[in-house]
Amino acid sequence: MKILSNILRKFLPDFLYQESIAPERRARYKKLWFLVISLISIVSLVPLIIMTVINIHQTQDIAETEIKQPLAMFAMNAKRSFEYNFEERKAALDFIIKERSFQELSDHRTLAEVFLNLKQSFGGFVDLGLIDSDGVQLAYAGPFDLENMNYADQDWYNEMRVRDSYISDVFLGYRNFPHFVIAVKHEKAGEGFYILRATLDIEFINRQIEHLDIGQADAFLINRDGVLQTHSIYYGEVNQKFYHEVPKFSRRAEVIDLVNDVGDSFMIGYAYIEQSPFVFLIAENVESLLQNWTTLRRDIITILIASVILIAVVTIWGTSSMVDKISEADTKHDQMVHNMEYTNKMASIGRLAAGVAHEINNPLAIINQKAGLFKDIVSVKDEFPEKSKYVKLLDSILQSVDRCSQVTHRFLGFAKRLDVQVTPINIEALLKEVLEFLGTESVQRGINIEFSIPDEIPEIESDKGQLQQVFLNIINNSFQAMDDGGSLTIAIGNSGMGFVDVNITDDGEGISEENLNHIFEPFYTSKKEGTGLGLSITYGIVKKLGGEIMVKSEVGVGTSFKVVLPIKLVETSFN
Amino acid sequence: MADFQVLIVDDELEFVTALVERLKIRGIRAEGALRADQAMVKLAMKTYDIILLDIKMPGMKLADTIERFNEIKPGVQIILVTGYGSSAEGEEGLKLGAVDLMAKPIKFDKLIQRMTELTLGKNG
Repeated sequence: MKILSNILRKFLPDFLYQESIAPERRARYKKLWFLVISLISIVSLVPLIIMTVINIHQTQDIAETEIKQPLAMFAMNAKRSFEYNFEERKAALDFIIKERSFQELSDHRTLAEVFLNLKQSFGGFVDLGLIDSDGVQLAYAGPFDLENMNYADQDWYNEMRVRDSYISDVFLGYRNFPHFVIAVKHEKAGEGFYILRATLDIEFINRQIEHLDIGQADAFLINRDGVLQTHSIYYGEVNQKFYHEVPKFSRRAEVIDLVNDVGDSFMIGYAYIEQSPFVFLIAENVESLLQNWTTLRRDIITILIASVILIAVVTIWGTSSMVDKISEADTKHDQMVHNMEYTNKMASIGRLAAGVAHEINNPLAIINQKAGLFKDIVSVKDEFPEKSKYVKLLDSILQSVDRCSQVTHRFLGFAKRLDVQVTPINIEALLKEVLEFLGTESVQRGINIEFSIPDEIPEIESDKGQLQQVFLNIINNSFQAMDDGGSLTIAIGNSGMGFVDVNITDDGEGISEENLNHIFEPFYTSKKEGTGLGLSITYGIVKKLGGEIMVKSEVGVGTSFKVVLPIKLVETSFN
Repeated sequence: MADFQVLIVDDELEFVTALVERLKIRGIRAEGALRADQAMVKLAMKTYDIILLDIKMPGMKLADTIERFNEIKPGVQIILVTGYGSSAEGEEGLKLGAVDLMAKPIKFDKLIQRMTELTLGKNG
């Protein structure tokens, strides 16, 4: 299950799993993903499938035609052969009955002679008899003793009353072996008719079937009522019923499909043998016939399935990586735009603030000097009325000016500007100094501070005082966000490319996303007390020192500040 | 008290006059100038130990002005005053020989102390 989901994970695009992507954007990617996969699939699979279906149909048609044609041909050949042979024998009998007189044929010896000649010339004859118009066999030549047999009540005899010739079904009869009858009639002028009746062994038919050379196929005869006239491999013995419906009459040879009761499918070629009750059938097992074609179809379908799988895999994989690339590019682009906007915004705020601070500093300087002068004058003169009250008022003004200038100076980072001094700094030592400064607070509140410092952290070149200010601000912020007994982690790392980073993580209340977006802006504060300048100054200092500051936070979980600093402070990064 | 002369160069009239008067109350000889050229004329005619110079005035190039001051009166101590937090000009001024850069509004006591230090250094 896990392996399966891992494989699936590899094929599905990454954007599905990246929580940082906004839902509406993910929905857009999903739509794009589906669209591209659908389009490629349709464009590649539909023609492939159509082609395969056409191919299968065509090869099936060809295969069936290849089977049906020989079957029809066999049936047609058999039909001609049988018709010819029956006609030949009928013609022979017809010749005899016309050539010899009734008296001659009634004579045993003459009939026996004729029968012997007939047998030698044509073959297949078992016996020969002369029957008068009452149905009595007057003379008989053959292996049985059938003289004076009366056939008056038999079907064939009744048929003969209205017809000139007749070929019977195969039957066992008095002789008790499968045979059939060919009879011809001769009319005596004004004296009724007499019949020459010959019996033919079923072997005569079997020999003809053998001559067809039909190989493995099952060839046999049925009569028009569907009774087997010869042995059949698939359908049984003589006189058994052919359990399919008798095929429809046609003058030509036809081929039909039949399924037997155990589900085997047969293809049957058949032809009606005219002037006889027989229908010739040749049956072939379709499965064995279509074996080649079935193999071909299986190969075609296998190739189709393999192609579909290959196309699906390549399509999904390709589309996934394409959409992922788009997603990555979008994310990068967003990040860039966001960074640029943020930098621009901070720069604008900085310029605005500096401008405002400057404009305020000038009048503030005048207020400062005027109030100072006022105080000087009041102080110098002994007899100034309510002198102490004025001095107090003026002190209050001067203090307020002082407060204002503290704000504007901090704001402008003025003091820091003047103090810039680059020295080698051990960050760990610097952080410990900052913590010492805050030491009593962490001890009193039971805050646990953990350090994580790898050995290979190089000393960096930077401004010590300003860095102290940076970390003091951040750690102070963390302390304010934390409950008593919380824990603070300070991790120093080597970012590579000539930078080190300091990660300060607390488990405090966290910062909402809305506040996080404005956290470095001046005068933005979520605290009741505080100027909202601390982190904006921190931001300004870090930027000035050629570094970056980042913050991540989750409400209820904690906040993490990351300060990245260059190991070597490049002079230009000051401006 | 302190025995030195100060020239205050700033385009803010009120600032200059108040500061001049306050210095005078403390027995320091102080004069004001509202433009750099005016200051140069005064510098040529009189002796000043310290010049308090606003780094941003209309129509003034700080670097040229400091150079001219030094030409007219070599060795004059120039304290730069700025209302801006950070400016490349302030840094440049310090490089060109100004002795200090102070932020407006200047604490008066601090200014007196600094000027005293500078003149003592000179006299000593």
